[in-house]
Amino acid sequence: MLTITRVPTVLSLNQLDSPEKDAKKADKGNFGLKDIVLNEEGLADARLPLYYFLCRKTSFLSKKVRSFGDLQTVPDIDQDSSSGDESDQPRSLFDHTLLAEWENKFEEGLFRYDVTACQTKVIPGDYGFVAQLNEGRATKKRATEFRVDKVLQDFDDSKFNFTKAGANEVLFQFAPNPNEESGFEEAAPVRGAASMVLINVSPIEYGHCLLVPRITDRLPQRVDHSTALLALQMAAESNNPYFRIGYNSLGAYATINHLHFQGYYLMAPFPVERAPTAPLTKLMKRRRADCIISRLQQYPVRGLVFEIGKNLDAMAGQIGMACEVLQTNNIPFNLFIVDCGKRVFLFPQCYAEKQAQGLVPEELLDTGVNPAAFEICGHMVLKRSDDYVNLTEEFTWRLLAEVSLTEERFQEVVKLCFP
Amino acid sequence: MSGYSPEEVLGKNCRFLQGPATEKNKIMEIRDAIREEREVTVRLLNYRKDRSTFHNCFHLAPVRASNSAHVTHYVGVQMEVKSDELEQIESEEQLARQQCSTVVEAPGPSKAEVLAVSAALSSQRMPSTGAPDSNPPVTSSVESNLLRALNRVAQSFVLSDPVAPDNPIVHVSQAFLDMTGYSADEVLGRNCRFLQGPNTDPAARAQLAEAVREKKACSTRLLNYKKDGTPFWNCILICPVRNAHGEVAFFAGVQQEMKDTAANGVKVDQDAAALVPPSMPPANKLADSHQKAAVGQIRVAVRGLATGGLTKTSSNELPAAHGAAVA
Ligand SMILES: Cc1cc2nc3c(=O)[nH]c(=O)nc-3n(C[C@H](O)[C@H](O)[C@H](O)COP(=O)(O)O)c2cc1C
Repeated sequence: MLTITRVPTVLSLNQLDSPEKDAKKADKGNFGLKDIVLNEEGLADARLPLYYFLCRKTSFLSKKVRSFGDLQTVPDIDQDSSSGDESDQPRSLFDHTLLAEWENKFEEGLFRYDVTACQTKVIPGDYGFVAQLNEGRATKKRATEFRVDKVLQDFDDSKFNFTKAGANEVLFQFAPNPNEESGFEEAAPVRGAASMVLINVSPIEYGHCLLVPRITDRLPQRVDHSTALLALQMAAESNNPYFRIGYNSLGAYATINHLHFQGYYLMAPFPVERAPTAPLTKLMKRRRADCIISRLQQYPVRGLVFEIGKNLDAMAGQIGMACEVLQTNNIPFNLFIVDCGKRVFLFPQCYAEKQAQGLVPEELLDTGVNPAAFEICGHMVLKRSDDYVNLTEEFTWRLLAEVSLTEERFQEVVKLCFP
Repeated sequence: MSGYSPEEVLGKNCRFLQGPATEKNKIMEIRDAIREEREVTVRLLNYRKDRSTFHNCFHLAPVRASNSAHVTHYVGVQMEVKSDELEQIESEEQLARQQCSTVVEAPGPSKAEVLAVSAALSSQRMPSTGAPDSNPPVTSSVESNLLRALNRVAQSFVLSDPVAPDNPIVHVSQAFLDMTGYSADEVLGRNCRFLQGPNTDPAARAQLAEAVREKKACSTRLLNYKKDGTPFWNCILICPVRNAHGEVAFFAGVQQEMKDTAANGVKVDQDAAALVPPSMPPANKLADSHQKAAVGQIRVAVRGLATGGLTKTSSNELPAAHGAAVA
C-alpha cells in the first residue's frame, strides 16, 4: 500500500479542529444556517438559494452557438462589446449569482483568510506560469496519511464529507431546468438529492467554489458521463473564459472522498491554454463527431485535450468514458475545464505515487506544492515567501515534468482509453 | 483575400474569420493581447466566406489617441501564408527549436504597415467604423489594461485612490455619469461627497467617513443630489479593493439609485426633500445583489495579471502582407 503524509487542505470550516473552528464560527451569524449541516435531516426544512440552468444537454449547439458562436469563436468577455447602452442585466446570470453570493460570504467573514490580500504574479518566461504566495492556507491540523494507489475508494461516512458542512457555506443549489431559461431564487426548498455549489473556505482565487453533485447521494470521488456533464454545464453557464473548473481524483491530490469539482476566476491565461495541440498520432488520430481529441504539445505534463463537437453531452460521454477507464485501471488523473466548457484537459499523473516511493527530489517536495489540477495547468500556489520570490519557469517546468507520465506510459494509457 | 464584401465586415468582430480548426491557443493569444492592450503576432487558420481555409499571419496592434493612453482602435494586418511557405517556415521553426535558439525575426512588411496605419489613425482621428471599441470615453486614470474589464461592469460605480489626499475619484463608470448627469471631467479627481447636499443625513456620512478611515467595507443609504439638483436615495456600498500585490489599490463605491416606486417603499418628494430629510427607504435585496456582483467583478478585474506578451508569441512573425483592416 502506498501512502503520502500531508496536512489536508481545509475546504469546509467543519473540517477544522475545534478551537480554530469555534473562533471562526463565532463570527457574524447567518440566520442560524451555520448550525444546519447538509444531510437529509438538515436539508428537510432548509431554504437555500437556487440557481437553475437551462438544460442544454443536447440543445447546446442549436441554442447557444447560434447566438454566441461555438468554440471557434471562443465567447470572449473582452472582445464582445458592452458599450453601456445595454440593460443593467449582467452578461451571465451565473457569473452574477456566483460573484454576488461569494462577495456575501466574503463580507460575512466565512473564509479563513482574505485571498485578495495574497500576492500573485506572472513568472517571466515563455509560458507565463502564475505564482501566488498563500501563507493562510496552511492549518494547524495534524498531517494525515493518504492512500495514493487506490483511485476508487468506497464512500466512508465516518470521514469528513460535504454532508457535514454547514449550510452557511452553500452559495446556491445548482439544478437543471428542462423548460425555461436560467434563473435564480433567493430561498427555495431543497428537492431530492440536489447538487450544491459551496464556498471553498481556503480559496486560491476570488470566487473559489466547490460543485458537489447530488450531495446527499454521497457519491465517492469518481467521474462518469453524468457528473462530467454537470461540471461542463456549470462551466457553460459562466460566460467568462477566466472561470475554470478543475477535478482531482484520489491519488492525484484530492483529499476528500466525496465527489466535488472546484472552480475560480483568474483573470490571466493559464499556461496550458496557450500550449499547442496535435492530433494524437496518425494511427490513433480520431476526429469523432462527439468531440475532437488531441494531445498537448510543448508542455511539461503530457495530457489529452477534448474539444466540443456535437454538444456538451456527447463530449461529457467521451470524457466520462476515458475517466472510467483510468479509474478502473487505477490511474490517478486531473481534469481541467476551460473555454466555458468547450475544451477540457485530462492529465493522467504519477507524482503522488513517486512521492510515496521517495522518488521525487527533495527540493521539489520542499516547496510544498501539491500538483493538483490548477497547479498542473500553471497556477503555482506557494506557502513560503522565499519560494515565491525565487520561483522560475525552469523550476516550475521541472516540478511539473515530475507529474507527467513517461511518453511510453502515456501512449499505453491513451491506448487503454481509446482502444 | 477573405471573399467578404465591406458591408459584411464593417461593424463586426473579426472572429467571423475563425472556424472549427482555428487553433484555440492562438485565439487565446489574441484575446490576451487585447485585454492587455499590446501588440501581438500569431499565425492561425482562418476561413474565407466560401469556408475554404488559409493560414493567416495576423498582426494586431492597439492605436492610442495621440495625446492619451487610451486605445481608440485596433489595427489588424492579415497576411495569407501559402502552404509551401508554411512548410518551410515550420521546418525552420522546428530546427530553431531543436537548436534551442530563437527564431530570427523576419523583417516582413507587416509591422511597417501597422505602424503606418497607426500613425494615420492617431494623427487624423479617422472616422469611427461603428465598432464598439472605438472612442471610449475618457472616464479613468487607472492603468489602461484594467479599463476593459472595468468597462464591463454595468452598474454605477467609482474607484478612488485611497493613497492620494482625500480619496479622489480615479475611475468612473458610464452608468454613474448617466445616473447623476455629471460628465467625467467634472468627477475625476474629486472626492465623491459632491453628491451630498443639504438634507444628506450626517450619520450616514459619518459611517462612510469611518469606513474610509479604517479601510473597511460599509453599506448605507443616503440622500444624494444629481447635477441638476434632483435629490435621490442612493444605496451606496463602499469597500477597499486589493490588486495582484495584495495591496489596497482602490476604494470602490457602487451606487444604486432607489427608484421612487410604491413597491419598494421609496419616496422622494422633490419639494419636501429640499426642505426636510425624508425617511430612509428599506434595504433592497435585489439592489444589494447587483452591488455585490459588481464588487466581485471589480475585485477579479483589479487582481488581473498582465503577461505583457511572452517571448514565445513573437516567434510567429512572417513576411508577405496581403491586407489591412481596422477594427
Ligand atoms: C469610492 C467611494 C465612493 C463614494 N461614493 C459616494 C456616493 O456615491 N455618495 C456619497 O454621498 N458619498 C460617497 N462616498 C463618501 C464620500 O466620498 C466621503 O467619504 C463621505 O462623505 C465621508 O467623508 P466626509 O465626512 O469627509 O465627507 C464615497 C466614498 C468613496 C471612497
